[in-house]
Amino acid sequence: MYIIPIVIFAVTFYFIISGRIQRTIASLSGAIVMVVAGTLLGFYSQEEAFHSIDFDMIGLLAGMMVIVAVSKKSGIFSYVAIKAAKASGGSHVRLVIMMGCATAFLSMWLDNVTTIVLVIPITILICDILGISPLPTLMSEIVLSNIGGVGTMIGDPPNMMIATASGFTFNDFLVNLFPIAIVAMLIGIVTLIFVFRGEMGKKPKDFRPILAIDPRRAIRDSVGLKRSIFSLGIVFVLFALQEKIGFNHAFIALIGAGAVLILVRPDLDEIIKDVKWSVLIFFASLFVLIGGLEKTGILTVAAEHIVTLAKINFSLAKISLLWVSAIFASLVDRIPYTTAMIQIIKDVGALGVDIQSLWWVLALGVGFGGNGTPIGSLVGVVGLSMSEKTQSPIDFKIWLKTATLVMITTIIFASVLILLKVI
Amino acid sequence: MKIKDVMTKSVITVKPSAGIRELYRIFCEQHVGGVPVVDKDMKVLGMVTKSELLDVLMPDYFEVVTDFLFIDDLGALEEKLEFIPTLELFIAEDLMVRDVITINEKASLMKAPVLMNKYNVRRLPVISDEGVLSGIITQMDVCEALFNGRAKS
Repeated sequence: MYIIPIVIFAVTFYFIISGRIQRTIASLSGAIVMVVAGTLLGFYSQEEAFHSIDFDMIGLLAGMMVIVAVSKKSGIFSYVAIKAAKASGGSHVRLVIMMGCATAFLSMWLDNVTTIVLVIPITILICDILGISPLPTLMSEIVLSNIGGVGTMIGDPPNMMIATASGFTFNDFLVNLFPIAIVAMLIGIVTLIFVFRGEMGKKPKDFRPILAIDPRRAIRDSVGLKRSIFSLGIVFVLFALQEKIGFNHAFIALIGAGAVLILVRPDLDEIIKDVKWSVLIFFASLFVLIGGLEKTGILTVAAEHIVTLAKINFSLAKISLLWVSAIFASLVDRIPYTTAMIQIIKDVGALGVDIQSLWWVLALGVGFGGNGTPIGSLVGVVGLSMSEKTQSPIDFKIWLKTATLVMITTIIFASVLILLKVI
Repeated sequence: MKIKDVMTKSVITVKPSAGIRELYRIFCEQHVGGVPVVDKDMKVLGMVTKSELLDVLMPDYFEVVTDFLFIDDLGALEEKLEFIPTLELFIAEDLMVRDVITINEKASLMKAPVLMNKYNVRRLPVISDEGVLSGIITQMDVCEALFNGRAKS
């Protein structure tokens, strides 16, 4: 009987990663079939399915989506991009570093895909104005956005999932992952500069047009911007105090969403449209699917194997988890993988192993692994398709030479940290 | 009043293979803002207006740059726009808007401004029941008909 949930999950997973059906529709259909089969065969009830949805995670994601939807209308993304470009002072290398770091900085606190969608066009424009190839700068933005997202609890959906599953707070992420992400960004920058050294030898023809841009003119609504930043500030303060006040992740994000809506009072219909409902439904469906799969005991079997390995050599177990996560994240949709892995790590914890460090290893693996291939992260998918509108689009070969290399170097870096018992 | 009473009957049309320079010449010399692209049976395949000619000059990614009004000097990009090596290679078929809003010649005149405003176009190719191009109606034609209160002769 337990073969049925495994088949349902496998078929759904196939449709999610093959892209033959839009992933939300695939996962929602799979979740429905899982619950129907579970009810009929008696292995999974509707109540259990409902309880398997991590509403803390969904609320956190939805709250942050509302804040981003409101604040992006103010023009903040263009403002930061122009500021970064001006700060480069006309050096190609510095432009690649500054624009990449600015994107990573935005990605740490706001949604990665929104950041990339708004920063990439302005980057291409800046590079065209300077008469240089946008390729190195675009790759730097995509790669550093993925790495930067690893550094904070709200940087990337896998981190949000890990936070709500493990109970780690915003501060835990800042202490444990932020410094690692910063060093990994440096490794990424050095790698990219090395690979693109030829192209970056070409100096911008004339930097004056960039110097002439007044970034303040990019701000469309300065009052709205200040209020959005204030609301984000509330969220960060509450997150920082989370342990003391005991608020849920979702509650804090939704307080921020409420604050930004009350203070800015945007056209609500527009904001509601900007919230990515399909993503929220995708997550909810995956939780239901994994909940059904958990009933088969297959995840516990995987957990037992990890425990066996961990008892022989804990570092080796962690390094295996890191590399498997990175490879999975780069080759298939990392969200279903992370959802399943979270359940497995919980099972490992139930078997009496200290799983604190495993959460960080998982976050680093799926986070850095996102750079492995263009389909490893949504940022890569979006970045690639936007670059097709330029004269030097990012192709698979360029990706392998740059982002994949960064993935390998950053994962090696994380492995070294494991061996040194830092993680 | 019906569309066919107001429309311009002698329409300037182009074949799908018409080059970009020929289009430019038509716009300059004939003082029209857009021409229907037709096949040999005079069925409308598409429409080319001055906007489509300007679109060729713009890099593709401009459609996703949400706002660049705050940038005045386009630096090296400007030199690129002044010389587009592939410019002469464009033909009407590449440039035309394919899903053209047309209007039947028997339709009421008032339908024309409604369609023009709804789809944000300045001119509508007029077609017969058989789908053959029989004329063109512009914003100015409609205005003239309404203000003068009479149909064109």
